[in-house]
Amino acid sequence: MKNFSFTKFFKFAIALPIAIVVAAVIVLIACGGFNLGIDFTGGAMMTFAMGQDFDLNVVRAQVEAQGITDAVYATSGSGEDAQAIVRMHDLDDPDRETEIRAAVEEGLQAVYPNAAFLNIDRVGAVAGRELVQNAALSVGIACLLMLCYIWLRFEIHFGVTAVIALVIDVAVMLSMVAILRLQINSSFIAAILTIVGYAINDTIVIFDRIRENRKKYRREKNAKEIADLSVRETLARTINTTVTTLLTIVTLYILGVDSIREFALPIIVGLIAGNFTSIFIAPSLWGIWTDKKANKLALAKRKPSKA
Amino acid sequence: MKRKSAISLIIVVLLVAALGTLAVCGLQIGALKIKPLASGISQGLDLRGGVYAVYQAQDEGQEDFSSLLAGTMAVLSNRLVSQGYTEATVSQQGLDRIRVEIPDVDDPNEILTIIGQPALLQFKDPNGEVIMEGDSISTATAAMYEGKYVVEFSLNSEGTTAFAEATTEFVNQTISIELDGNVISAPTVNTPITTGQGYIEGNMTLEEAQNLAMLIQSGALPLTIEQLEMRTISATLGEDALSTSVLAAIIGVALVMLYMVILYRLPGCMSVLALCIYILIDLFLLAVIPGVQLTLPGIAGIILSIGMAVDANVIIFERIKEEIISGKTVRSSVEAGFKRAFSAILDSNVTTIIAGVVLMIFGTGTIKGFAVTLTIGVIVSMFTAIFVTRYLLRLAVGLDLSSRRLYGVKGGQEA
Repeated sequence: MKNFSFTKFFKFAIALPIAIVVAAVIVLIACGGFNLGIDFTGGAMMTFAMGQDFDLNVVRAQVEAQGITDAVYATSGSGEDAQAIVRMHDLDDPDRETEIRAAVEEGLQAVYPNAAFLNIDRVGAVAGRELVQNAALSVGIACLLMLCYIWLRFEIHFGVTAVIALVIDVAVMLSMVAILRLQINSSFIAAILTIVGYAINDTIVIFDRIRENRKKYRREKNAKEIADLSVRETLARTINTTVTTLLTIVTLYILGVDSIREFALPIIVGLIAGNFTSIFIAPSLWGIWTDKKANKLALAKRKPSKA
Repeated sequence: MKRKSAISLIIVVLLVAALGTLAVCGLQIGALKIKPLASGISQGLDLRGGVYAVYQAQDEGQEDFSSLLAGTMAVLSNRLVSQGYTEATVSQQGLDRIRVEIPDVDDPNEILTIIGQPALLQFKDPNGEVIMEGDSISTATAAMYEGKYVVEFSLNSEGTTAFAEATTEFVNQTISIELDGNVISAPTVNTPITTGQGYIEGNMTLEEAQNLAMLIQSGALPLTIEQLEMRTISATLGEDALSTSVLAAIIGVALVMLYMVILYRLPGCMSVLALCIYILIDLFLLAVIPGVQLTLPGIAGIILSIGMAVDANVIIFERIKEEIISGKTVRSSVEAGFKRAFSAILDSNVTTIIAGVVLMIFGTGTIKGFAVTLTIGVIVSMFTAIFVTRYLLRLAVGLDLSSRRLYGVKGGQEA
C-alpha cells in the first residue's frame, strides 16, 4: 500500500460508479422508472389494522368493489400487527373517501373480525412536485455555497472536484435506490442532503493535506504525486471516521423501525460512496487536472521563447 | 504537575458522571426540581403520533395577504385550543401555506374538517339582505332550550343596534341564519329583540351545538383555505420508533467509544470523556433552544453528529500519531497535532454547517428537524473537539504517561 498510486488507479476507480449508474439506468428502463412514494405522486394512502395474517386479495376485492381499480396494495407487519396499506389516487372528495373507508372496513370485518381502519394519509400532487423542486433547489444551493467556501479557502480546482465527487455520491445513491427498488420519499431526500453535507468532509480533510503538502514539496513533486502522498497519509483517518459514523448508522438500521430504515439505508450507501470518492476520485481528479493545466502553462511559456 | 493533572482529571470524570446522572434521572431537592433532560426536549409528531395537515390559502393576490394569513392562522389556533388541542401548532409554510400539527388525535378527519371550515355566519332579512355577520357576536355558548340543544349568543353594541332595528322592522317575518351559505336556522320574529341576546336552534346534537358555538366564537376564517396534504402517524408506531432509536443510539455510541479506545488508547479514553461532554451539551441545547423538536430524522441527525464529533478527534489523534512518529516528544506532538489539525476541522465542519443551514431554510417538517439537530450537533462538536479534547489531552500528558504505545503508535522505542 506504501507506493500505491491513486491517480494511476483513477481510470479503474471511476469505472465503478459509472457501472452502478449504467446498471441503474437499465433497471429504470426495465421497471419503468423510480419507485416513487406518495410524497411525490400525490394520492391517498389508507392503512387498515388487520389483527391477524390475511390475504391481500380480500382487501383488493373490497376496494375494487368500491370502484377503485388503480390502487396499489402492500402489507406491513405480521400476526397481530399485520396491516394492509392501500394506495390510490387522490379522490378530492372527503365524503366519498369516508364512504369508501367505511365500506371497506365493514367488508374486511366480515372476513377478519378484528380488522379496523387505522389512518389515512393524503398528499396533493402539487405538494409532491414542490418537494422535488425544493430538494433539488436545496442541493443546488448547498453545492454552490460549499463550492464558494472551498474556492475561498483553497482554489477553484479543489471546489470543482469536490462538487464533482458529491454529484457522483448522489448519483450512486439514486442508482442504488433504483436497483434495490426502494421507495423514494421525503426521507430519501433528507438522506441525500445529509450525504451532501457529510461526504464533503472526508474530501476536505484530504484537500487540507494536499494544501499543506503543496507548500512543503512545491518543487520536488507534481500535483499527481502530491495527491497520492496526501491520500496515503490521511488514509487511516479517512477510513476510521467513516467506520465510526457507519457504526452508529448501521446500528440504527439494524434496530430501527421501517421509517428509520428507509432513511438509514441510503445514508449507509452514501457514506460508503462518499468515502470511495474522497479516496479514489476527488484527489486524483484534482491532481490530473492541475498537472494538465501546469503543462499547458509551461508549453505556452515555452512557445514564445522558441519563436 | 503530575498530581495536579491527576486531580483535575478525576474532578472532570466525577463532574461528567454527576451531570450525566442528573440529565438522565433528574433531581428534586425541596422546591428545586430538575427534570430529566430527555423530557425537556419536545417531540415531533412522528414520535408522539398525531396528524398534520397543510393548507393552501387562496386569493394570494389580494391586499394585506400576509396579515390575512396571520389572521387565518390565529383563528385556526383558537379553534384548536377551544377543541382541547392545546399542544397543537399552527405555522406558516412558505408564503401561502399553513401547516397544522395536532398530537394525540383520535379522529383526524373530524377535527380537520371543523377547524378548516370557513365559518362565515350571516343573519339575513326576508329580502336576503345581510343584517349582520358573525363578528357582531361577542359570545356564543351551547345551551339547552325546551329540550333542544341551541347556541346562545350575545351581541356587541353594534350588533345589538343592527339586530334591534331589523327585528323591529321585520316583526312576524323570518330572519335566516346562514353558515357558509347554508341556512342553519330560520326563526320567525315574534317581538323586537333589543337586549342583544338570542339563540340559534336547528336540530343539533350537543356536540354540534358546541362546535357551532366554537366556530362563531372564533370568527370566520379571513381567507379560504384548501387542504393540500394530510398525514396521520399512530402513537404506538412513534413510541416504538423512539425506543428503538434510543437503544440504537446507545449501542452505536458504545461501539464508537470502544473503537476509539482500541485505536487510540489514552487519547481514545480522553475522547470518550469528551464525547460524553459533547452529548450532554448537545442534549442540553436541544432541550433549551426554543422551537427545536425531536423527529425521527432528527434522531438520525443527532446520531450522525455524534459520529462526526468523533471525526474531529480522529483527525487530531492521527495527526498526533504522525508527529510522534516523526520523532517529537509526546507533549509537543499533542500541541502540534491540535494546531495542524485545526484547518482541516474548521473547513470540513463549515461545509457541513453550510449544508445544514440551507436545509433549515428550505426544508419543511421532518427535514427541518433533521437540519436543526445536525447543525447544532456540528457546532457543538467543533467546540468539544477543539477545546474540551485539548484540555483533557493536556491533563493526560500532564500525567507523564508518555509511553508512545498509549497514543496508539505501534512499536518503536519509548520516548
